[in-house]
This record gives sequence, structure tokens and C-alpha cells, in this order.
Amino acid sequence: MLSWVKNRNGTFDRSANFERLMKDSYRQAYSVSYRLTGDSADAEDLVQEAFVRAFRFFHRYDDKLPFSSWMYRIIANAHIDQIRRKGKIKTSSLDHSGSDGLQAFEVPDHTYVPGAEMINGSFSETVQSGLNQMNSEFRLAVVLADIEGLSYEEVAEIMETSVGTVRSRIHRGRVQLRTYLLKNAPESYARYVNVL
Amino acid sequence: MSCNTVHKKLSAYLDGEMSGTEMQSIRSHIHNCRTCQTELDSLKSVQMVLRGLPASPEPSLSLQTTIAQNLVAEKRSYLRLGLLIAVPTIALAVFIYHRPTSNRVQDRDLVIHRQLAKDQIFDAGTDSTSGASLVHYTNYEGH
Repeated sequence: MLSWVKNRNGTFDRSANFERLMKDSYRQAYSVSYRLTGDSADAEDLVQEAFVRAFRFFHRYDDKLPFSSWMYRIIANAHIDQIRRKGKIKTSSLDHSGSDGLQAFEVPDHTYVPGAEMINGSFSETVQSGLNQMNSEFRLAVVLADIEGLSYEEVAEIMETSVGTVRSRIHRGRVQLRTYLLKNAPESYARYVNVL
Repeated sequence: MSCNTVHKKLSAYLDGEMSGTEMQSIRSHIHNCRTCQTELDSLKSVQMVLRGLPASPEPSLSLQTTIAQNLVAEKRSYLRLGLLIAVPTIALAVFIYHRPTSNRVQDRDLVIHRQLAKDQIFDAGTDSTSGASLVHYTNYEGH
């Protein structure tokens, strides 16, 4: 629960509270927006739009939900509107193929987070391009889960859908990204596969 | 469980986002299926790539100020909207407040008028020519 700023007469100071939350969260909002848009200027436009919307509907904000999650939801909706306005909706065919290999039994290691130093600038740009090519709903689910580190339940709440749908979107998004990387940066991507 | 079914569940398995029973059945399938094991590794590498992405570039220094300015503009538009709604509302309220008073006066006059119209008045006397007795009914309207 947040501690709200109040006026002298004890009433809720809407503007002051919102501005404080905005100052605390705008960088994080920009970061997600950048991953969704893949462009600094578009990301800034998206953040600005999202904060105006958030301010407009701040009376509906339930402080039981973290402000960042509420902002993610607004950013997601604003992003979809932005795409519609620009006529930029892109859909890619899904790759359901498996691959052959000779790997032994392995238990997933959920604590393992590889070092960021492994990704160089150009490969990072390729990955971002891969994200941009994704279906917007898959991209949002993947960004929230894999980059922002949210649980499926949190993603479902933000996307206002079921956990089952989120599960499917994340999986299909990852498969799309893999297909893109295999096609556009096979050598850089292979290094990650070889690490395993 | 078929490989196709397992493939669809591998991301959730990788993230530990499924029940213990489901995890166990997928684990035992992977243990005996090299194709699914490779698919799992492949998805894990995609996850590693995403987690290893460097932080997004910093936003411009003016972003916070721009957002704050947008909020001020939004507040002003609220005020304008408030005035647009408030002024006609107040005017309407004033009109309504005065209107019933005059109506009440008009209504009272009408009631009196109707009452008087109902009250029958008559003149009694003799005709000046014939000398016969006369009763002449009239009312307020007639007067």
C-alpha cells in the first residue's frame, strides 16, 4: 500500500500523488516502452501518452496493485492504439518445428540468469528487431515475463487475460524470436545454444 | 504425452509455471526424448538472450519535464471542461429556482379565477317595463 500525500484539510491530493508516482516510475515505463517499440522517440511518445491516460483515470487506480503493473497495462493499451494509428500491425507465421539434438536429461534451473555482457551491441539490435517483428501480444507477454521478470499471473493481470493465454503467448513469442534469430543472427544465437 | 503436446508446454516448464504433477510428467518425457530435450534447450537459449539484453538506452533528459507539462495541460483542460459544464449548469439552476416561484403565483391566480368562475351570482329584481319579477344568473366570467 502506498502512503498518499494529503492536503492540509486531510483530503487526497491527486496531483501531488500522481506526480510522485510518475517521478518514481517513468524510467521503468520508458524501458518497457522502448522494448515494445524498439525506438527511442516512439518509446517517449508512448510513455507520454500513457502517463496522460493514467492521470485521467487515476481515480480508478486501486493501490492494492503496484503502480508499475497498472502503468504496464496502460502502456500496453496505448501501444496497441499507437500501432493501430500507424497501421503497423505485423504478424508473423509461427514456427512449430522442433530440432534434432543429443542432449541428456536436464532439470530447469530457474535461478540461472546469464550475464548481460554476453550480448554485444549488434546482436542486441538484432534481438530488438526480432521483438519488433513479433505479433504485438506475444511481444508484450515476452517482454513482461523475460525482460521485466514478471510471473505469468502478473502478466495475465496486466494483459487482462487468463494465465493459459499468457502461457501460450510467451511460448509462441519465444518460438517466433528463435526463428528470427536463426535466420538473421545464426552464429551469435548458436553461442547461446552452445553454452547449455 | 506426445512430443507436440510437450513442445507447447516447454516454455511454462522452463519458467516453472505449471503444477508439480505436470512438471513431473514433462520431466520424465524429456528424460526419454532427445528431440524434446533439444527443443527445451533451444527455448532456454532464447530466454537467456532476452535476459541478457543490456538495459534500454536512457530516456532524454527532458522526458520527465515533458510528462509534467502534459499533466499540467491535462489539468487545465479539466478546468476548462469544468467551466464549460459549470456555467450552463449554474445558469439553469438559477432559472429553475426562479421559475417555480412565478409559476406558483400564476397557479394561485388561476385557482382563484376558476373558483370565482364557479361561484354563481345572480341579480333579483323587477323588470322596469313589465314589472315582472326577474332572476338573472351570472358569474365571475359574466362580470
